[in-house]
Amino acid sequence: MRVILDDVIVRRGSFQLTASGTFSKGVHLVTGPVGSGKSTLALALAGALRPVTGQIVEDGIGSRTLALPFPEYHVTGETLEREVASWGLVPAPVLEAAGLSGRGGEDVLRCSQGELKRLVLSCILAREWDLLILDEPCSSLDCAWKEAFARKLGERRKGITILLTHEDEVLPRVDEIWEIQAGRLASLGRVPEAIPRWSRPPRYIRAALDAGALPENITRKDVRDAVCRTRG
Amino acid sequence: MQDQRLTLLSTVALSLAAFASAWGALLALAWWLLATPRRLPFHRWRSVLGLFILVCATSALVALSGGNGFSYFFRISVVLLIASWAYGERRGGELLDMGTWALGNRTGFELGLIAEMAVQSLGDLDRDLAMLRLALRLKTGGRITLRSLVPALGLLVRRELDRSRDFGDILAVRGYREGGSLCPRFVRGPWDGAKAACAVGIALLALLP
Repeated sequence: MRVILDDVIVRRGSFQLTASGTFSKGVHLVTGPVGSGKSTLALALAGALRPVTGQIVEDGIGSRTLALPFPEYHVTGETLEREVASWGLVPAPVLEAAGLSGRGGEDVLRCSQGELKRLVLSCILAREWDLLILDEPCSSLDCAWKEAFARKLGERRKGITILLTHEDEVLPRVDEIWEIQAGRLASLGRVPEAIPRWSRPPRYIRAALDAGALPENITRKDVRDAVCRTRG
Repeated sequence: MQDQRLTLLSTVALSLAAFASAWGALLALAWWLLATPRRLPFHRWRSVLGLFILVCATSALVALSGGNGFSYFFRISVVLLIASWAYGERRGGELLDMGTWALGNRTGFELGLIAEMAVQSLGDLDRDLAMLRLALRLKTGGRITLRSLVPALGLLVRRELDRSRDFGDILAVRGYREGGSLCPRFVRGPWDGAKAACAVGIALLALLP
């Protein structure tokens, strides 16, 4: 199971993104500042943007989805229960996972954006996808929900998960780090070797690296453990 | 064309000419071929196809009711072509500039600001619809039902209302009450005046008995 970007160039308006590499099974973090082309890459991987040159080859991918940054686009049910059912899921456990238990009959239009985000992410994570693309999944979430989401994502063992974000507070365990710089996507390699190559890591990782610690992964716990080991 | 005022004048003149008669439409088409980069909006082929079907259906109705369906089809197609060119020529802030230039810093500024907000909303709506279509396709595998569309479109309307409220709040926070101070500047290309004069000439030829 893999997704191969074969010298791909994608254009969106006047912006151009160049990408080469292979996404294999596991969790991939694609980072880059706002406006660097993460959403453009997400749309291309989801098949919504056709490359102007090169090709995106999918090998062994049966099911795929893309979580858009704004959860409103995904909603097709009038109530929270119907929304969960529209994903082919049993409402009660999903609503519980989203922290919306007992509100199944509520109108989706009455939910805040954060609640809708929790609902849509819970629906998406309740299903198994061969290719799961998450574009800024943590926007509109508070820290507690970001952590819960990162935990769930880190537990995913099946398929390819591509997380595109500039989030620098809460990150899940990942297998490989990618970076977009000056309109070009490049793999930094597998974790942990990739971490010191990261040009703009979150502050807590930068501080650990500056202190001479090399974390095993990029979660706050991994970084804390690494710093403790360094200090003895 | 670089001067937005002349672009607007040409658009109005040519649209009137094309709608008034088949000869006017033919001259407007010749103007489009000679005075513009002749770019067709094929990247928006779904919208073009939808409009084409609509014009074909209306022309057929005109023909069936005893009118000249072919003439109607030709005239409306040229009107849409001119509209497509004018839409492609637009630049951010031009409506505010033109409103202020034409009607001053109070009424003109306000009308221009409202027009800018309306155009911006149309652009936002266009992007929202594209994302909505993508999300529906990913979720339902392409099967879009009326039942699934209603809440999706409802949320879209709410999003647009939220944006308008936010924009209103920003204006209020910044102390906006009425009118504004703006000195619009227009750049004129070397052939802009001649092109606009031709467009007005075509309109006069088509409209005068």
